[in-house]
Amino acid sequence: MNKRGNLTRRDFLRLSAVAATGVVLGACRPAVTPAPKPVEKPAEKPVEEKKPAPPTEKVTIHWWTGWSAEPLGEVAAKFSELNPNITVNWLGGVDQEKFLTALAGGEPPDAASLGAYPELFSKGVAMDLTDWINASKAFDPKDIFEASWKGATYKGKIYAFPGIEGFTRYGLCFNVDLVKEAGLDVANPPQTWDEAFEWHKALTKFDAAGNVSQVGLDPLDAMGGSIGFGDPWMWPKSWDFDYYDDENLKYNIDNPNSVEFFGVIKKFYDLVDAKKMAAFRQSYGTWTGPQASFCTGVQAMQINGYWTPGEMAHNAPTITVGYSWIPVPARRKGKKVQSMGGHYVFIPEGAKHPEAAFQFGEFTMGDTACDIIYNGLGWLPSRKSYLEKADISKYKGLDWFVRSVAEADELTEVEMDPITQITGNEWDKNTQAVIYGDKTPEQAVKDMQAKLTEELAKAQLK
Amino acid sequence: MPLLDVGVAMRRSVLHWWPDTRQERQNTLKGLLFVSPWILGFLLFTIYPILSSLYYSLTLYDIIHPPQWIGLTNYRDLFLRDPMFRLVIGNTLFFVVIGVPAGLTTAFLLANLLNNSVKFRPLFRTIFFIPSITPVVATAMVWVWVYNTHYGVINSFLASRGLSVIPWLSDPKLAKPSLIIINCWAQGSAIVIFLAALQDVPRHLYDAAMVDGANWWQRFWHVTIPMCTPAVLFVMITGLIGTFQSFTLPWLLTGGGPNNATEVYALYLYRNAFRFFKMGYASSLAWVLFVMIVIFTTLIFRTSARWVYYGGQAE
Repeated sequence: MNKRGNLTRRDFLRLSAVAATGVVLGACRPAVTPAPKPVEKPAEKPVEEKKPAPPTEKVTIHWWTGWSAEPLGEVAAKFSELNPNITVNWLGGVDQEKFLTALAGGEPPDAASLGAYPELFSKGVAMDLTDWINASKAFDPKDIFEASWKGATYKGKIYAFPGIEGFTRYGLCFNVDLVKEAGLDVANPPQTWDEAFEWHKALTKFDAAGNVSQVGLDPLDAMGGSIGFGDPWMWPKSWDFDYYDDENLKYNIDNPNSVEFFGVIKKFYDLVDAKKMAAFRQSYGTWTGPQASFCTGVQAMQINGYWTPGEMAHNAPTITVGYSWIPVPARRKGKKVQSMGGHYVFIPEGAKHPEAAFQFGEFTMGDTACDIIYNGLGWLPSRKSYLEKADISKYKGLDWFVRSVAEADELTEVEMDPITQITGNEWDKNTQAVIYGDKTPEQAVKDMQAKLTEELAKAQLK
Repeated sequence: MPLLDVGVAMRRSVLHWWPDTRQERQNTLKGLLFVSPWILGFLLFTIYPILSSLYYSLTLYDIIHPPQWIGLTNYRDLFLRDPMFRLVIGNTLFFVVIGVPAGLTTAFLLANLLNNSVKFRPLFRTIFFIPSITPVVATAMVWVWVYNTHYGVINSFLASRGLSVIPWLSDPKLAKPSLIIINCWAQGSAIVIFLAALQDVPRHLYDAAMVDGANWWQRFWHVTIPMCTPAVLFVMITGLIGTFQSFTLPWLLTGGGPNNATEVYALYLYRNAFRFFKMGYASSLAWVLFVMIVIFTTLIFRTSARWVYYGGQAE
């Protein structure tokens, strides 16, 4: 026993145990759970009253976007100028972590254009805008491509405006000079993956030491590797199957088609060598940035979207690019496959000023906002009437993407996969395992199917 | 322990802790008042989040919906059902077991070199220290270029001689060693600690060793190293904790690839929390990481009595 009146180690431990137990119990209270604040849904109001009333007092709303492109700030400024009662405070370059933290803290922005939309909509992050959008006079819903509406809709409810950008995702883009130099016919680009592989062989070059100096086609570059965040998954589209059944909440990845496309990817990588191809991607970068392999003329072909003509005009003006349909399996030769995708403006649950945010969302669909974005960034909206009036000739080759909507045999949309990011991660993990020879395509599709089925069962959906 | 005993212990402890005189009580209150901002901050921003994460680790929690209590399911899944967990443990242990000793050895040897009276010694010391005060993002960008297969300094030289380039970051076998090389390069802080320790080695020990006929290696092995072991222990512990938690370099240089070769623990934890909406699972990963760090640190401390020499201690 402590006779000197000091705190003994045993006493200290006892006190600590009591204090820690108290804090643990306190932390376990359900009241501390940072759940988003419920917002009254407009669905219960009569039709005439469904359209949100504009604010009578001056309000400031916050719009967060995933990109930091300045023209988006100009859109916000223009809206504020035209609507003196509403000031839009734009914040660009916002990542998902920031958004989720704000949401968990009960302080989400009033409008957002970021993240993996199907995932956010399926988890109840966004407000149901169905009635408000149906009552809106600012635009005609029929003027928007159906595929874009599908990407904004989850279980029959509309959660977002197809604003900012939303147009065609696929084209086989090829460097005309490199193709001619290899003795290939630019007028007859490859239609099947076998033909694309022949071009890949003819266009891939090595130096005397075996180092790769030019690649024909990296099938995973740009839209070839993309999935989620407004982009559909190209490979199932090329093979004409839906990898996810959103009605029955089931994945359909473990099938012979998937095995086939994993095999095609491996074949393309094997020609170069997986390590060399990965090094090539790391050295130059992917997509259409100024240093990217396609822009620096060391990759001859790329699968990319409608923004390619504009980005090539800015980043590689000396390269002449030809455009054609993405390759399909030999048995589907001649099929013209196109898909829509894009980005959205949604109002997070718990937003302070949903009515004002809705008004801003309507504005992003209009000509003024579309002009600012198209002229500043080259991004096109999913509005048919805007495509008719926009100066498409501004970027050489853009007309191919615009025409492709009418000419496509199959025009599809983004899959409403509620765990898109896990799917993307599994896709990346399994393609690498196949490319590096750790798994067979059969094993990869089995693993992917099993993992996604397991994860979907655990996901907390609406 | 019975609740009554705890109450008695608390009352007794509080009574003994509280000062007897008015002046002492006033002083104690003033002291508490001055430190209260820190105590409050510590409780709110450190203790509360830590305990919350313990709670969340026992729930299914996607940040958006309220957490659902699932007991130890997350931990069961981690240990029994998640092959990625085993993979990231393996990768992280590789960095701990190979990377930490490699960095420590490099820092110790460089500190010894810089402890000699060479020309431009202050300049060299500054050069070696700069990487440790450079932001990791900038460091990563520099090494992205150094390792670049087409423009990188090493590979450009190899290619110009007609040799095959080295796929530093794209070969699963080379990616981990490539990151360890960067870690060895950025050992400025450890070098400074070792330099301080080296300058603290009593000169008379070297003199005595030389009188006994010891050569430079014997002096290094029997005098320098033993006298620096407290600094070695410190650098080893901090290096181990930092390596277990390493995130920025693999995230920026390889993103966990190629083929998961550099998918380390912290990357996997981050993906689960902020990409896969699995905050509960990520919390359980965080607690397992904490326990692993405690185990490794305890092991090192336990063994340190055998190899750490504190000047003046009895043999």
